[in-house]
Amino acid sequence: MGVVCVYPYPVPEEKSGQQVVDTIQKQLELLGAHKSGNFFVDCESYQSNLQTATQQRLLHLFHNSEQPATCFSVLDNGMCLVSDLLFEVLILKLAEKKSGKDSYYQQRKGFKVESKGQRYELGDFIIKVGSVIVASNFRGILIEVEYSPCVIPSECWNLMKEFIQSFMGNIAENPPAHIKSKMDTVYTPEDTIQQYLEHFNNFRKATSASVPATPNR
Amino acid sequence: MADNQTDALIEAINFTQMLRASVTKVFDNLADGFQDSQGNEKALLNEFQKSLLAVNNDFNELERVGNGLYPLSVNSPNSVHLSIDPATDKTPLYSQLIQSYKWSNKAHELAGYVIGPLDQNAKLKRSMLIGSTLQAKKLRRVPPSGHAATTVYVDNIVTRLDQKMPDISMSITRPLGSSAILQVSLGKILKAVVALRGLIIEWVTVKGYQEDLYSEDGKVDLWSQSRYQVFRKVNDSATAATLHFYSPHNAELALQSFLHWFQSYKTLFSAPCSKCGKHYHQGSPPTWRDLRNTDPYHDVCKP
Amino acid sequence: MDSTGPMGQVLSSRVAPLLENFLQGSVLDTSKDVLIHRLRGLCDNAENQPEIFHDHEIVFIMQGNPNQQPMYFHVRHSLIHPESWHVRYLGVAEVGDKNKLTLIRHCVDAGASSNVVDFLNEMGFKIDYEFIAKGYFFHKGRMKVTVSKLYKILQPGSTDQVEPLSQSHLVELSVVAPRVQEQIGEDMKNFAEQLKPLVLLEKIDHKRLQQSLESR
Repeated sequence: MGVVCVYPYPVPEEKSGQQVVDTIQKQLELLGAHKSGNFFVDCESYQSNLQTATQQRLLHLFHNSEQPATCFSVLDNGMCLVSDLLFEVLILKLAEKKSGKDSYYQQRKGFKVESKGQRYELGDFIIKVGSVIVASNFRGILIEVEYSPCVIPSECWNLMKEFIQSFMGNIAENPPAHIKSKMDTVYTPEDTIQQYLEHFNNFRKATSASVPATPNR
Repeated sequence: MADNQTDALIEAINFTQMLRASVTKVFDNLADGFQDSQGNEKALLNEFQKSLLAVNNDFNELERVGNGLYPLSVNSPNSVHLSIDPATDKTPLYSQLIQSYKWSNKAHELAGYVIGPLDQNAKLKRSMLIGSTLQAKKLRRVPPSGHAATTVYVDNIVTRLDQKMPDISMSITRPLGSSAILQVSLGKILKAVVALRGLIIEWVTVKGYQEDLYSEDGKVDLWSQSRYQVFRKVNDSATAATLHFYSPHNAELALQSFLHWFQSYKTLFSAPCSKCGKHYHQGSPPTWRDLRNTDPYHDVCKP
Repeated sequence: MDSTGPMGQVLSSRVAPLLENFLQGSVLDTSKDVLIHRLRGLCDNAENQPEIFHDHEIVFIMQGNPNQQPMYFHVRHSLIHPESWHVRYLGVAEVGDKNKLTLIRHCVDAGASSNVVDFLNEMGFKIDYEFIAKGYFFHKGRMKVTVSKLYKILQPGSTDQVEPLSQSHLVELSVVAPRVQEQIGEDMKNFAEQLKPLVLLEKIDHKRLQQSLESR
């Protein structure tokens, strides 16, 4: 597990998402990257249903195919619990309506976000070209680049920047906002999830904003 | 004729043998002495005469056969060539000997001149050899001792080097008797296992910060490679460097130079290549460090 | 058991051991060593020293309005390996009829990162009670035996100042399996037989226990 940077890739109006994905993939293959399977990062959200608590809580449950036996639970205050996959069952227990009793947490329908696509490797770099799907609609592209041997972002940022710019242009002028605050600490898989959460929230916002305007999309 | 000759020769040899046997018998009898307790002197004399007669007979026989032999011809087939053997006087042996003697004299003389300047250079490396040439001659034959350093000595040197190099932290384990295994870690960048024999570096394995130096059974893992391409490349460079710095006469300096060079990998990910000025090249940062001035280079940019 | 709802989905989609068959009993402190010897002989790895554990267990409760059933999560933190944290959900133990040889309850185990206590607090859980469990762990095949002494924590937050809860050790025999299997009950019953008369491992009805305590 090394340092990961996640960037959204703009999809121009005149092109479809698939076309843009194809272009990026072709470019990666020209650079010498080879395919190494598929990947996914998904997120489901649960809302608390507690009268006694002062405020409503939102809990995001993440899976990342890079850590297949782990699930990440992120609260809306940013706290993240890393646990075995079975922790999800505990959350489901809380969301379960049993014998007419109410549940403590409730799954938010139509809130599932997923980024999935092809995984590439080039030397020690891992590149993932993900199509973001919100409630089974294509919403955009997220590109994840990982430099696996290094754990300190400030050490390898310049190297990663050069590499990312070689196929994505100037999108990666600065490190992702989440990493910026912790350039000198050891990078953990949790930091990847936090980056995805930020992007997923943006996509959701864009979705809820654009839905009334173009209901057909 | 030849057959006759051969038969006669065989006959002669037989008679010679008979003659020798009878003569030996006479002398044997004489040497043993005649002991006569019964006063039978006559019988003894008779016997002596009989043996002398046998000698005489044999001799006559031999003489008879010998007269029948004629001398062998000296002209055996190959011996005729002896005449064309070159005369020693006629070969230029002497002048050639003189020539080579002069040559070897000259070489000896020149070697004498050369040893002066060469010796001065040698003194730079082996400062302990300063002193009388006699002493130097003796010391030069001292075998390298780097491999035989005691454990206490190795411990001391390693702790000293550890303090001297702020970026490196080292620890010693001895899983296999007295040979030390050095675990070197360089910040949060990489780790290495260095196997020592005495103070001489025998083996280096480089791995990433997050990779485990221990195998599953809890032993230090000397052999497995790193998962990451970049550390495998560093490993190759480090192995080459151990050969570059190898010096069995001054193993401490060799270890120190190696570690000093190795220290330069703390900028493995952050330093750009000294030649092309870039960080990234074909999936790797600059993984090669110059052995003298530790400048970073990509594999393909090496000077 | 639950065939509907998300729980059912998980049960059917993922193979995860979710049902715990268990028997409980207790042994006086004075006879504990004899039992440990017995168990070392009966269980696997007899040649090794028995594994010990020293855990701090915090039980969290989530309680809402009367229309919401209270939910308990057990967090265990090993004091021997302080980096290891563990969350466990335990359902209500079902006594069942005579045919069922053991108690059965739902059980979900998950290892978690060290911020689990804060995380559960943020989720709306409150600490219900906590205790220290210290003891020995054995296994024979898939059967797990723990002999543990429970301690009361005198000062909240301090795991050093403790006081034993009783003069005896708790003995638990359990098997976690994905579904109800008759064979497990048989095996456990047989094993329990071998520990008699040192310790009686039985189906202890928790509800009746609670009622008798309350009536006292």
